[in-house]
Amino acid sequence: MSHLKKIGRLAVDSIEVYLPIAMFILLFLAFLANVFFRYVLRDPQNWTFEFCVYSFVVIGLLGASAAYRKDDHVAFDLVYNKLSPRGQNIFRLIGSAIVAVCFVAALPTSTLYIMELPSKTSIMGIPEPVFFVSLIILMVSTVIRFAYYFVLDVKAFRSRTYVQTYHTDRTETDALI
Amino acid sequence: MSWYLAIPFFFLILAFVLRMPIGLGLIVGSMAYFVAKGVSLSILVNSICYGLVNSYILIAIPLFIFTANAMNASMVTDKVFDFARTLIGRRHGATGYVCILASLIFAGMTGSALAEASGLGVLEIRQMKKEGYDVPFASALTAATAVLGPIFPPSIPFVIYAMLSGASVGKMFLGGMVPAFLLCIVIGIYVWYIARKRNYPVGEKVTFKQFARSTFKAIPALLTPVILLVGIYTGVMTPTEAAAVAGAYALLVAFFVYHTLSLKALGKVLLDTLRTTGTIFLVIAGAYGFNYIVTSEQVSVQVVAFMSSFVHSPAVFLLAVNILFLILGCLVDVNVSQFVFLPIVLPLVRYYHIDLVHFGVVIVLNMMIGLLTPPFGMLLFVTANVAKVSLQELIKEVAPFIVAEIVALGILTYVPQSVLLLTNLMK
Repeated sequence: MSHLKKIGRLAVDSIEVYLPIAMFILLFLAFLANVFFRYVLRDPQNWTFEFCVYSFVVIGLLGASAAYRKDDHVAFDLVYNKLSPRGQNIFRLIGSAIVAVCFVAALPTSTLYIMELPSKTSIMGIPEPVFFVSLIILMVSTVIRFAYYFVLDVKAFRSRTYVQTYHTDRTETDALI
Repeated sequence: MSWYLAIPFFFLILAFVLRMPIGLGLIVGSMAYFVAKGVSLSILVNSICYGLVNSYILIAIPLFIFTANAMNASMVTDKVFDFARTLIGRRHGATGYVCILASLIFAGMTGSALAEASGLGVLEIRQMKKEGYDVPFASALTAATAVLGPIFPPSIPFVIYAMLSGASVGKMFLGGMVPAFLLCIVIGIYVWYIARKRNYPVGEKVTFKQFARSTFKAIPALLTPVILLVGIYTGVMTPTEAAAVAGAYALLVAFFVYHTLSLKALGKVLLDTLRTTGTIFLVIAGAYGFNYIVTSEQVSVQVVAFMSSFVHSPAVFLLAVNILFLILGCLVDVNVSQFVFLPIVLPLVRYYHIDLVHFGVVIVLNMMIGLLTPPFGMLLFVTANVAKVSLQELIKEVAPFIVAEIVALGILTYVPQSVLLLTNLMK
């Protein structure tokens, strides 16, 4: 079981963290290569531009998924903080339910649309779904995470503790730096 | 404009109330709008995917974030701070001025207020605390000077504004220079006043040898903004390429000159860059869906028709927009102001024939002041957490700085030459 857990963790890390970081390093190098080709070799390259544009999409969308890990996403908590623990528990339940339900409902259409896109990138000739699949990954990750938060909040509600049991180590600076 | 438009706004408000991530609130609101209108969700997916592909200019964002994180992790802040200290020398409240100067220099490397507050800010607060400054004042000064980060080039909000408005990034960067110095002056005047009133310590005497040594150590770091700006204005690099070159230079300096960055630390820098980029990206993705709705409902046309019926002068319009965005700054995150509300007022900027660069600098400064205003002031949260002071104490100390920065905002709003001076010289 622990092996399976490890493999699963590695797979998720690879998609959410290692892949976008690798893409970022490649994007970084592609930009430098672009300047080098243009000014040193006097041979401007178009593929670098195209690669940067598409890898940016992958970095951003998978990065948004990675940002869930420490609850980095910007949220407004002034109203929430005024509530009793029970009220906060209820608000978390409603919020998680809305996100999970909407994203589940949107998933089939979005997946079908992206997978059936016939277009390829104009210079490198790579099918666009290869890059846009990051949006589907973000959607799946959103559904799984918010469904999980929902389950944990239901447990907290039923046990009458009302306490949030996920992202408990989060601080404001954690979320921003 | 149909009643369906109320749906995404309803979900945005719901996100605020329920503490749902704002980016998700925008996406969920857009989904509900498309479903209610009976339009296929594939249009939403299309506008997000291709909206991102067509935003070449935004690639500068992760690159600037990376540069700022690399600079912070490699302790470049220490060199910048020491250099600023030797420049200021013996004065009442010298460290206060050092903070202003160091923030201005560091602003030339980061482009983000939060990176500035969380990087240099730690050093500034620690030093002022050691010298006996009131900690809430030290935190307030750190927060107020962090606003320089996105005003002096490079600037992430300027890049986003340029993408939204079509203004030139290079001109925006030039336009931010004089306002950054103006901000230093107004903050400096208040520091001068308070340093005398509270008898803050006089700075240490600096010998020429100390000055020369700190300058020599700081030169590699000080060259970052020079490389960036010279690269852009000589036309050698686009602003996005310049961001990559600045990042590469930051790495070279950290690894080979200062020897302050390990491979492990670089891994953390990359991870932090990914996470911060991801948080901005979720709002951007949500905003593409939201902006599609705003465009298809012809909101801009209605807003222009409504405003032009009773606001006849650009001066009154600028006053109204400034007040509106200052209020928004208290209530919502800067990314929401920028991606959701700014596109709605941009057609009015064109209608009143206001220079896009002038308006851009004014509105970005306005939104950055919003980072200082409670209840939703991100810089307050960061500096209060770094200094371990209560928000209440911090808000009391930051209020005069907010007033000083609003005075600067007023000058910049009604004296366009203060923004356009350098851009006009470059023509």
